[in-house]
Amino acid sequence: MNGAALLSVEGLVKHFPVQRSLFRLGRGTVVRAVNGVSFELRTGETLALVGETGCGKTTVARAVAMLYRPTTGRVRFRGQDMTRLRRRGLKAARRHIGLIFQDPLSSLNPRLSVARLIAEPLAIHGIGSSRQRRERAFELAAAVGIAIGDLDRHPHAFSGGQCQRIAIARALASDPALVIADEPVSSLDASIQSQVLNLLIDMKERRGLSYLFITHDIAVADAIADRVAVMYAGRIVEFGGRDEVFHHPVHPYTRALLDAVPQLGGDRGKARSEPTEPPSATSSPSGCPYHPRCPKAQALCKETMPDLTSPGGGGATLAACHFPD
Amino acid sequence: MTRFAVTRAIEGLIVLLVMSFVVYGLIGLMPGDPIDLMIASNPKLTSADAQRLRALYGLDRPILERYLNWLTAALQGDFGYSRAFARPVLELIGPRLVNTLVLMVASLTVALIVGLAAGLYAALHPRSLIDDLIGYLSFISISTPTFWLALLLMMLFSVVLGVLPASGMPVGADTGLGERLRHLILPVATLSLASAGGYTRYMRAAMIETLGQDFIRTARAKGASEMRVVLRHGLRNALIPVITVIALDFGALFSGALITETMFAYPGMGKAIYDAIMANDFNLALVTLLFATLTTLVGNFAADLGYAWLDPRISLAAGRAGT
Amino acid sequence: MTSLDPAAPTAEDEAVGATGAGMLLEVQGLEVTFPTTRGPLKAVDGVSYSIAAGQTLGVVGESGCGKSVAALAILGLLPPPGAVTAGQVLFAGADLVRLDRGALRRLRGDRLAMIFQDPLSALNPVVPIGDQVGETLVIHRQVAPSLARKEAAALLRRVGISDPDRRITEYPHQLSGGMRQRAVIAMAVACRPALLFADEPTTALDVTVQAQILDLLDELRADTGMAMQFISHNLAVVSRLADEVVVMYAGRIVERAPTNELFRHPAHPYTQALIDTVPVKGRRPLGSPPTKLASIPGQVADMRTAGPGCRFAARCPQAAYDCRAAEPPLREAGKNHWVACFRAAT
Repeated sequence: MNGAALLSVEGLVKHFPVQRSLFRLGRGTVVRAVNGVSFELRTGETLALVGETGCGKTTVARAVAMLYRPTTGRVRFRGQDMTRLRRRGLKAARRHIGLIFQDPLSSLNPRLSVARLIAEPLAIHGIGSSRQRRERAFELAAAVGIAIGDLDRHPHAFSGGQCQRIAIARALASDPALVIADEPVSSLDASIQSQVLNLLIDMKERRGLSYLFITHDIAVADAIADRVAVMYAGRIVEFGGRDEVFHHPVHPYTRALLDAVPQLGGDRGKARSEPTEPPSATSSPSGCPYHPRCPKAQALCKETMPDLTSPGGGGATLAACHFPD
Repeated sequence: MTRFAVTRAIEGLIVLLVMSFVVYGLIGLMPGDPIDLMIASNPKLTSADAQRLRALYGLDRPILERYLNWLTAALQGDFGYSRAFARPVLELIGPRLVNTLVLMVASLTVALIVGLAAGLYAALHPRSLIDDLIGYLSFISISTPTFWLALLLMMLFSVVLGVLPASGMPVGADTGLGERLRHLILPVATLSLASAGGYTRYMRAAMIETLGQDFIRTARAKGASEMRVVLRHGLRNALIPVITVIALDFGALFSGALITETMFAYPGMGKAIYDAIMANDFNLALVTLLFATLTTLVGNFAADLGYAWLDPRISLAAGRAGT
Repeated sequence: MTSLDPAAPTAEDEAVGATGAGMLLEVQGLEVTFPTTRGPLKAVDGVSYSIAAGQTLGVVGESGCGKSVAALAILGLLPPPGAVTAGQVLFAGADLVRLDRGALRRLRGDRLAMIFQDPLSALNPVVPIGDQVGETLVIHRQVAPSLARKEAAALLRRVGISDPDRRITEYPHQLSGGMRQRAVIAMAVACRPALLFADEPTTALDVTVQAQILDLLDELRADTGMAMQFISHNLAVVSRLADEVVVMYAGRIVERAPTNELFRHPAHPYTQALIDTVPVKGRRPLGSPPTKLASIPGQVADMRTAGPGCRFAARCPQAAYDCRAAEPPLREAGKNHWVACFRAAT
């Protein structure tokens, strides 16, 4: 768990301009999806990026893979600054990153057979002969639990859980060091969710992978993460080990988020929800973006954006709050 | 809403300006200028005369300079003289434009009423006998060429039955309204039948799509009657995509009008454009072609306004851009 | 195939104060069939349950188990070509299945209401919120539209939307996800229904908003005395609201018990597995690395090709020969606790 940094993200900012009419009469607005995010992901760990809709977690994941070019900031992966890489360098670096998305069916090309889908990253990077690639697809299919006899079928013949297995096999084809999984189990049924999570845990142990795991589901993050980053309004508000963040949260938002998760059995009708809603990405409040919803907010919170620092100095947990618990 | 309209109007003007330059340039690039035609028709003209005439008309100047001169005059309302008809262009075009607009508006109205009603009926009774019948009829309408339909209607109503005039709409203002209407029936029938089939298909598809939406289920869950579900919740949403298609179709309606006019010898813009280009009549051709552009732009503009009126998400999105 | 469960209305359910005669809704042997190219598909296959006035029944199951289809069938909202092929649904003395369309329509939105998963798509994008919320009053109470709009503002205030006078003139896209679902709820309770069907009403929402909506629903239920059928794939969400829970698998009810009883003593292997497999915050011990979760092997079998036995048998760790030979009937496993399993202890 205490490996070296495989991935380090520094001051990542991503703004999306909102385009207007043909001649751009009128000023366009900007969606501030990510507003300065920094973190390190160590070799062999699973870092869960959690937060609610629109908090910027998916944008961070895509910027790390350079699917979006960051507006500013650096993304160091295996010692290379990804933001400086162009076509060939980027393609070479991407070989070491596997991607898994939320909707398994739409992320698989419906015209390709499963064998070709799984071997696609190998074909893209020109690894091996077509025969070797097919053999590799066999191997991966067996590892993720897809029957060899099904390899010549097409994605629509499979259930959601099986499609996600295929997507995992594809993500692992080029032997990546890092796998970015964006809500990989969110669209799956409960009994299938745990199957796929188990597969991810299994693959990580066997292949020494590192995961950047994006999820809105606290329970899923709790099950799979070594460390957790909680995002709110494009920023990380709390960062630390899974035990600390989920059992001793220091940021009021983390606390509210954890309290909102319904528990199995027993807390019927327990009222405790807060009445407010997440901010929009086009107009963020001044100071700490959480202050309009925060029960502890004071004058300072409306004026100054708190830095992500260690409360009290010594602890391993970082929080962006003027008045942490 | 106002801001939205103003923005679109300014965009339209810019498009018109660009188009005027393109059209001017294209006509300028055509082989032979009016003086060449004069020489061809009058062998007594010497090349020295030609030089003088070119200087007189400014045809020896570079094209950009000529364009700017034309534009300056045009902005002051002077679109020049038609050489072929020896009258000011605007005076010549005025009544023809009215005729074309009458034809287009009447045809569009008829086509919309027929098409939307048939499409709506078909959508509410999918896979019924009448739906099938409407389907066949609309495909016939879509695949029949306008000129052929015109000939067919002429054959039937003018030649065989002899109840309607086939051509020769009088130009003068002194003609009675009844006589004008009689002359309009066949062209309008041709043009509207040609587009009604398309509208029917769009309307049917859009309505079926809309009726499958979640909010229709919500309306039913509220206990809304089928009538209320269709008219209050379905129709307005279904019209949104239909309006777009009609707007895109506006250009086709215009060119359809030109063909129909030619077939029925109807004195509209179609004939004017044809004559102007054949006679190499610079000023007339320019203005008629620009009117064609303008018609399409106005159609799109009207569609945008209709769109914004039907769909609150549109106008508000544009309104927010200004803040 | 239809298993009419004679004991279905657990009339003696004293915990929720219900009496046999006082059942608000009684579903008996409901069967819903969709004709498909590969034969008829019974999406709901002999389902019986009942809800007492003021009670919340949770219906839990994975996608395709028939939990939503059953609710749509009760309200006569089945998408064609789906149809109720057997059973009856008694509500206020009438059988909803045999009621003519007009009479059922007059109950919908008035005595029976339903809310859906995605509030954005459930609202008409081109009609102002106020008109949509007040529409049930226009339909069922013959209230003038202008008056209904005013009434809508009061309803929006009731469900916790601030500045309701402005909101009634706005359109769905101008509201946040949580506010939209509040508006949908306001719309559903406008006529003070006796029974509200809530089909995954918080699944499309963020977790903090979800908690607010659950609170609101429970509060409204307590205030108005309406009963609720709360449908969800999420056991934890259901446990938050329901007095009693029904677990469905492949079109059938496999277990039914008061909420606390179900989570403490799940009797059906599927319920047990479902409770064990759902990722729950805090299940993994502190300080332990990520370890594998319990999981149910395989996937739901195609109901068209399923054999005669228990539909969970192929995935069940306890399945024996008899499980594949015949379908286990619902039998009593404890007080008010019913289970459809041969292996379950009774």
